[in-house]
Amino acid sequence: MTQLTGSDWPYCDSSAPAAVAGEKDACGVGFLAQLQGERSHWVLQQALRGLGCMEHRGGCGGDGDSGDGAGVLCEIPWEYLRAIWPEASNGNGLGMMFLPRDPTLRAEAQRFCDQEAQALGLTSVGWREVPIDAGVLGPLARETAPVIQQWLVHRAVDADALESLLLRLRRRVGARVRQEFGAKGARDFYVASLSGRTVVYKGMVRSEVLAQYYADLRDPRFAVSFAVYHRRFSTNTLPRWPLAQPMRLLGHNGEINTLLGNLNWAKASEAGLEDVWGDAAADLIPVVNPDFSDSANLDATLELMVRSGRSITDSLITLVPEAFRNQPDLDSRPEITAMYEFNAGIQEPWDGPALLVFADGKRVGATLDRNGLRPARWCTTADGFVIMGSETGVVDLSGKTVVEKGRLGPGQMVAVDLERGELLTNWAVKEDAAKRFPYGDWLKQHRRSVSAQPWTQDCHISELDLLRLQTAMGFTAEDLDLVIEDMAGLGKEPTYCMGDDIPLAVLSDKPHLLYDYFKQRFAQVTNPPIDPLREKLVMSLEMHLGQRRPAVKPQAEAAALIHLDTPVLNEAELTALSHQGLAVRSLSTQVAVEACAGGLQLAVDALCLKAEQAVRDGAQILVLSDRVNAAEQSAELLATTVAMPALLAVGAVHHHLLGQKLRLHCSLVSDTAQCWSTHHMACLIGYGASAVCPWLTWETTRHWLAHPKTQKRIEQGKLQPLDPDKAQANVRLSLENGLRKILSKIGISLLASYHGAQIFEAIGLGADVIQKAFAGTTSRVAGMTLSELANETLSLHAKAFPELNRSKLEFMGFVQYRTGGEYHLNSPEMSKALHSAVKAGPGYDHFSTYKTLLENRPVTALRDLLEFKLAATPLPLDQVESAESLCTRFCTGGMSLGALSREAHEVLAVAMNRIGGKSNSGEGGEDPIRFQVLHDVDGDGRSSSFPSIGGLRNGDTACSAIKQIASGRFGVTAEYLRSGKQLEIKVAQGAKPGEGGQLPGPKVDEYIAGLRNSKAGVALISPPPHHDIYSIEDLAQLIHDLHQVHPKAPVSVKLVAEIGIGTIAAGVAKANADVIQISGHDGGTGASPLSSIKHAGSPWELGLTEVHRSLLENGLRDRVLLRADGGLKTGWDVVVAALLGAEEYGFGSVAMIAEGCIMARVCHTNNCPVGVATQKEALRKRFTGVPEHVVNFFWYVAEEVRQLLSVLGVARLEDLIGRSELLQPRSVELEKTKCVDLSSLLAPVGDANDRSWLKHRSEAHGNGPILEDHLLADREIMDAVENHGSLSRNIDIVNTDRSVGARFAGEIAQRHGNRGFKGQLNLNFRGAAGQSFGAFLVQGMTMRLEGEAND
Amino acid sequence: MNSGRITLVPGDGVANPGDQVILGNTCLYGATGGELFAHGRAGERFGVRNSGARAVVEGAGDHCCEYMTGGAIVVLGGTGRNVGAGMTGGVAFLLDEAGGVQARVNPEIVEVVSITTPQQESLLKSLLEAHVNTTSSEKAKALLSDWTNSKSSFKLLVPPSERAAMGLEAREVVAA
Repeated sequence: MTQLTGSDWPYCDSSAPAAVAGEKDACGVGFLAQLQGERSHWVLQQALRGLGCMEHRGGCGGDGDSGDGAGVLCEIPWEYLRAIWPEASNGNGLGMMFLPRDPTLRAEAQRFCDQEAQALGLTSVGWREVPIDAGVLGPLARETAPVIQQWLVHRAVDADALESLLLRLRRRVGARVRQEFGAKGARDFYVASLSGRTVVYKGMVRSEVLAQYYADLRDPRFAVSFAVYHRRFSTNTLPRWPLAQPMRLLGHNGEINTLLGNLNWAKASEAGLEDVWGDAAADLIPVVNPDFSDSANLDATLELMVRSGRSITDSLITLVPEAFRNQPDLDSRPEITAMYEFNAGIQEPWDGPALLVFADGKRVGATLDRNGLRPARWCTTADGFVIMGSETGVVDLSGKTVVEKGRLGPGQMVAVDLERGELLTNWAVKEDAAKRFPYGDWLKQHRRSVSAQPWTQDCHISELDLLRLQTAMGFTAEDLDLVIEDMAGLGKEPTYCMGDDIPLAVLSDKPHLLYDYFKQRFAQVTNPPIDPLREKLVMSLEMHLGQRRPAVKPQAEAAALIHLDTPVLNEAELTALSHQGLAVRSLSTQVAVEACAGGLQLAVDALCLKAEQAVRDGAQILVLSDRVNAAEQSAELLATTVAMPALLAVGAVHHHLLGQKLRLHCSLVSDTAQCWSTHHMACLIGYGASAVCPWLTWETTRHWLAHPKTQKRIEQGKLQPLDPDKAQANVRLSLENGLRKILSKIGISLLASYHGAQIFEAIGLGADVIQKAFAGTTSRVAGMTLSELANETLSLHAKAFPELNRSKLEFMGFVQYRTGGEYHLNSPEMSKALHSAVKAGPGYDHFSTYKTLLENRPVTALRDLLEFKLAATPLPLDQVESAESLCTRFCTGGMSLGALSREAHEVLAVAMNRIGGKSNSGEGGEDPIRFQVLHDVDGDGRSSSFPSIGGLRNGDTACSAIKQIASGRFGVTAEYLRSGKQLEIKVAQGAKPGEGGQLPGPKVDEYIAGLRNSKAGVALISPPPHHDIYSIEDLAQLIHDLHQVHPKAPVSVKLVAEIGIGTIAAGVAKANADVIQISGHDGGTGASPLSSIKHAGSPWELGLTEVHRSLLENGLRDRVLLRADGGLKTGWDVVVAALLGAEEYGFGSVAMIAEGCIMARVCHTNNCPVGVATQKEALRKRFTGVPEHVVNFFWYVAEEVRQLLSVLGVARLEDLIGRSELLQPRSVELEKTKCVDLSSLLAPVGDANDRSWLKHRSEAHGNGPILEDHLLADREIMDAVENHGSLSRNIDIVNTDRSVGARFAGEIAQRHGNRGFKGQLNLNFRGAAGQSFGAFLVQGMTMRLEGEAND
Repeated sequence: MNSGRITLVPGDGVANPGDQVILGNTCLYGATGGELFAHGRAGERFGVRNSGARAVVEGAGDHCCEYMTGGAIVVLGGTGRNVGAGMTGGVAFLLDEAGGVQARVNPEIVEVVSITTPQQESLLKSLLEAHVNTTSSEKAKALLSDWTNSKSSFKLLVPPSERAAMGLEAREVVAA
């Protein structure tokens, strides 16, 4: 019997680094500068005022008082310091030090500082206690507040040299403290700034508290010529002072999506620091730290460049470049393009939404990332001020003349050169940077390029050998029929429907490829995904091969790289790499079968050592090939040789070279038979390959084309005419577009940044596999060790060698259900059983057949590894909560009218309303006719309002209780929102998290077009992101809008499970959501790319546990109700979800089955044979579902829950919520692995006796006092609203008045609908309007604003 | 926004108001009707997923009119790139004084044409007049006062689904 909670190496989980699962932040930022360098206290005051006006962009801790952080970075006010601190005249460097509270430790820390200063030839001049008022801090911040002192140092060197010395000093002091105090003790020591030019005042405070806390900031003598400010909103609530911003050079609003990769590459670049710093380089290492935030790491990287002698603007242009391809404005500026091209070879961009505000004392400015998704507005005044901020209207400009107002567009920068007193707008900064070095000449001299080479025309391998190879590599019939066929024939990856309902790779008894254990991560809430189709111009798949030289020192040799337009290489291009003057070596990934049988450890180690040696011998490109032997001669696989998984080879070599500090000396190219899907390609590149030649895929494509079946289909006109060129080019195009899609879902635009960024989580891989090849990747459920992986690899090989035991490719059934293939949860057998049960009506027996089918299933989902700890004596059933009461916790998933037929959609809504549950409108609006309660139902159960459905009763209503707000915003109006009992913001969808959608033209009939305010027959696109949610503070704003328009409705936010969701959920809770829904990766879909259905997102069990735990730990659990969905089918599923922390339960596919879906899996073709998921009139007529069937299903589920409550010995479901201690591992044998680690599900959470978090507020969260309150209290106005009256009002407005107009729109829509109000309200505003001015306006409202508006 | 009207004019002390930014990013997202007149420039993604609102602004950023399915947008000034990406419905009139519109439009769905039909002209003119009435925009006034010449400096962005309404020969709607 297997023990399933192994925590023994290697059967244990690999945890997530802080970079992945740690806190995320967002914020408001800005700066002010005086061009002539005139110092004033006004600049500081306005920076503090700006902070105050950004308060709504910040967040508060669990205590509601400790802010997430606020701060200013400004010029050192030397005059002020000298006035109050005589020694200040003797220093030229100032440190802002956060010191331990323990006096002994503090004295010791100061001693280290003094000693290290001395070691670098600096004099420690003195220390000054910074006057503070701890009374203004929130309780959490007070508990962790450091003692804050300023430290004065001196050495007579020029200013830049001093800055470099001070960086070294700070690093040395940090290292010393860590060494003496240990990692934990060192946390109480932090240097906020140490510079001769700038100083940082910051803390875990709310904006307005900053100046109350630091007395210095209130002194009128504190005069500066520039200041940067930053207000932070963190997803976490545990206050940490050092995480407040600005950092030393930067304030950052955004999130670096590529952080893991950037950290790996930064680590690798440490080897090049000696070029610039000589022996001093040792002081600077490590430059980055995975335990720190993205902002801190970006700041550290920037600081290194700046202190190495590059200007701060050049450095930022290098680190966060704009999308310089397809930019019409650059046509006339080739020198800037050349600079970007050169930079691409020395630095992978730090990619992700970012508004960076920076200052090093020489230049101050701001820059926006290439996607430009953060707002950034600036203006200049006649008296020489440059003022920039996340929002406009935050600085008091009364009495000043505004000369120019602007905003930063994507990739743009604005800077003030303080030395020359000059404003540098975007092109001026970039032209200045481009002139620094002769980038264009360097490129001309050294850059090489491998462009598209001809395709191979003929098949090189015999049919039989091909089949043998494919089989050995794990290529199956579905891979040919679905994947290759669509890619080669149509030039796109296949689309499919419904969810992923097969066992997880680690649980399956079928052999899977290593790729299948990896799930793609995606962006939700804290950063936006992007649109790889409509916004392709910001994306790039360009890669560079060869030795990468240090970014801190641009030089001609650094241009000596091979440039590739695409990482997908054909055979000729792979060959061409060897003729570019760079040293290329091929390394074999073939392993002797007997060696593999002993586990892959030795073979992998040997490969790594060979790679290391090759690089030491000068190789600049390493080709990891499964078709060469140890002598680099081409060699086929034999009965005695097996290929190690391509991904394992790439990952292991990548990490080995990183560890040896050799990684930047060479690029990795994977030449492999084992790569045919976009997911495979993404994994290989994500773990370190710069390019891939999927040679077996090319050969397979050529065979596919030559096959008589394909030729016949071309003849019949079923396929477009194809030749080998076109077919292979189609495959390449599909792989490239698929890569763009995978990048875009995590919000990354550049393959160069995705390269090595490891944006995956693993499910079911043991710690030894992770350590060997995927270090830094989270793996939960542990499982497969290297030797078990070796067994799986061998089991595939054994199907092909020594004897190939088949005449055609094996059908595994990973996608389609077929007898003998992989198990599918949603099978025709199951749907048949359920259909007879729901038709039979009350009486539980029929349901038992269905239930038994599911109970006896193979281990499919993680919950199948669990069982309940039953009570010693069951509670009699009559003492258990009623089925009616349980039903109020049930919901249906957000299935849109458009994906579902009108009939299917209405039946679900009626049924859910009947049982007191909640149906979900899905995206796409709702017919106002459905908002009424029916009183006209005839004896046949028919109503004239809903002519096409039967089984109705008087008192029914088809009004969906939950109204969804999705990224397309189709049909989202004030009236629609007011009709909902709950409002759901769909941030992601289980089947394709991070992607948008498209309702094809043929599905848009008159009715649907009417609801969505569009034209029949015209395709409707839902963007990947909500274009008003690019960050957590934006989500807070949308929640604010919705609470504004419909104050009674709770707002729910739908997320999809992935590693790090706990942190995100904490942020969502702080953003004032009432409900959080966690969906599993297995959610259904009307149509999605196959690779997205299969490879993105993780199981809800993991997501729910993570969220529940994170909310409890942060004291936020009582603020939100948790709902889970994803493949729930039975009462047993419901009880597991309850024990893991869910309070409500969503049902998608199975509710459709209950109303007649037969799992034909053709939703995406609009040909649903039973009228559930089609818009075709004729097919819709076949729909036979009635509300009763759905009601019966939920009633059965509730009954089953009751029985389980009884055996668990509790009366109410509520008594089980979050009690994971009642779950235990079930004893099952898994085919592939001896042991899994269930600690991620079963580890105890919090204080089991404290159940107070189950009590939520009975009303929806409010927005507090708002501008419209006094208008709503005005009887005259309300009278006009009620009775179609007309009137005008003049109102002053400031940027903190947000969503103005929405409350009124809601009130009017409630009474008169969107367009029923005949009166006229003229509201005239004066000032700067906050975000969402005029949201959801309805007829009869006229709003005039004199001033300016925000987003 | 479903109906109703929003007007934005700059406050005192702002030079050349039409050239200055007055509006943030992502305005009219998902709007189903109503009107917006702004005497100033807008940010990125003006009119994104608009399906019914009519608006006049005096400049806009990248991705203007993205995913639009209905309504009408007039931009009396420069725009960023990728205008009209994923725009399956609605129309946009862009003032093209410098002649760079074509290069800034995402041509996947929409076409750029000159103002040639009475339908186009009357829609554009009525919006400009409303803009002058609500904001007193100098720029719109100037354009209207020299209408015969100025109308030729506008370009119309039209997706296939709107061709008929704009008085153009209908074309098959691309089934995407």
